[in-house]
Amino acid sequence: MPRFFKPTAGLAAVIIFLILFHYLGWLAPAESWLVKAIAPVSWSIHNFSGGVKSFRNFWLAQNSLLTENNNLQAQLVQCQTNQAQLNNLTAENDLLKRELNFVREKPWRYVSAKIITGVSDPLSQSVVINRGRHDGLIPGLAVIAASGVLVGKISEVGDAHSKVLLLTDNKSRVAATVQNFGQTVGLVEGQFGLSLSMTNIPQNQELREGDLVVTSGLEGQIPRNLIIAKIDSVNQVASEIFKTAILSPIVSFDNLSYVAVIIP
Amino acid sequence: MWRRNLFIIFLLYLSAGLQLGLFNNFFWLSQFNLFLVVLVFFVNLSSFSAALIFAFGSGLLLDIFSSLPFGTYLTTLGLTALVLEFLFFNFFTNRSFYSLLMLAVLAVVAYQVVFLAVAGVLYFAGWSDFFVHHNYWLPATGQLFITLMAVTLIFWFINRQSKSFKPTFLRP
Repeated sequence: MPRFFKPTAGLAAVIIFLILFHYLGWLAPAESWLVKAIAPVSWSIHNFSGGVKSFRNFWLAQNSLLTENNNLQAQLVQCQTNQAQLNNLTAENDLLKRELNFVREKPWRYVSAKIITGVSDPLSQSVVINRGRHDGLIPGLAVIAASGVLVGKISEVGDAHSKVLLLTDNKSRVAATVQNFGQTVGLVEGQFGLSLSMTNIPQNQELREGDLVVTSGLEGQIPRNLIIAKIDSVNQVASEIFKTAILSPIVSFDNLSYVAVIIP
Repeated sequence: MWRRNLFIIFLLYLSAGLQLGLFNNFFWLSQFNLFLVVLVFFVNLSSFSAALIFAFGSGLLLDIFSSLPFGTYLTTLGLTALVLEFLFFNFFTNRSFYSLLMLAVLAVVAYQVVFLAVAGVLYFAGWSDFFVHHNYWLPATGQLFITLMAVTLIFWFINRQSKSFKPTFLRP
């Protein structure tokens, strides 16, 4: 037993001091240095494994690619029609705003970031990015994928790195609106890293499969109208006050490499 | 001494790259802990102090990249190293393949017990948002088998390269 006592006491003391120093912020430079030191190798391996996953997914999905291609072509034609209408409406909207001397919304500022790695614990769905406090990041900011789709929120900020809680984490909550006639509001929640759901939807709201879900802007640091997902199906139980929609993400959360953080 | 410490730093760097960049990216490998496997070998082949330094370094790296409160992995891996050293010193000193496998199984069990206890205490005390969900147990069970495979592979490799793992009771 004496053989174990001294190292155990030493280890306990070091751990206690390190935890103390971490929460006092004294370890921040050392932590940033360690992240920077590990980032290159971790990022290369992360990218390589992302490529392996994409390749695997491609082979698993190739049977359905032909059907998907036909569906996408039909959707493209529909989107082109919608886009033409949207361009007209945008031009008309701009004209009307100018006539009303409408104050323009403040444009967003973006900070682009590279995903260094996933987090080390199996209990959360998060990633680590290479931007931090020095780049003006604070917890709660929206993180979007390159295509402009919301993928998560900043959960923790270091000097030169930050942790992003992905929307698929079951602790993730985002105030959202459905782009339908009633502008239905609700809460988008993660489903244990697998998918997303929208809860707190009043029973009297009409939802359709394929409706887009966007941010409502009710959270101060997240701008409105950022695309989150689209509705896959709706679970409705007559005896309950609210109904729940199951959402399908627009982007794959598995193969993210670069993201942008919106600073409102 | 400095060569040993350099070797530990190299192993920490390599393990961190693989653990964070590769294993955490795949659902089935997400709970495989390479640091734990290397720790088992440190306990078997090196001194107690080297095992403690490695456990401490691993804990620090995992804590920096974790969403859990800082100290969770330092405590978990530190305690796991102590448990492993105690078991090795008292029960598995012959360095046979079977005792190594048994030590690896006990390492996974000890690691999971301590990790869940620490994460649970932090969660129920309100210091952490994260605790086990229903997806946790499948890869956690898989961790045991993947760990055993990794230990077997590394044992085979070391056994071919050196005499460190020749069972002591067979020595003349």
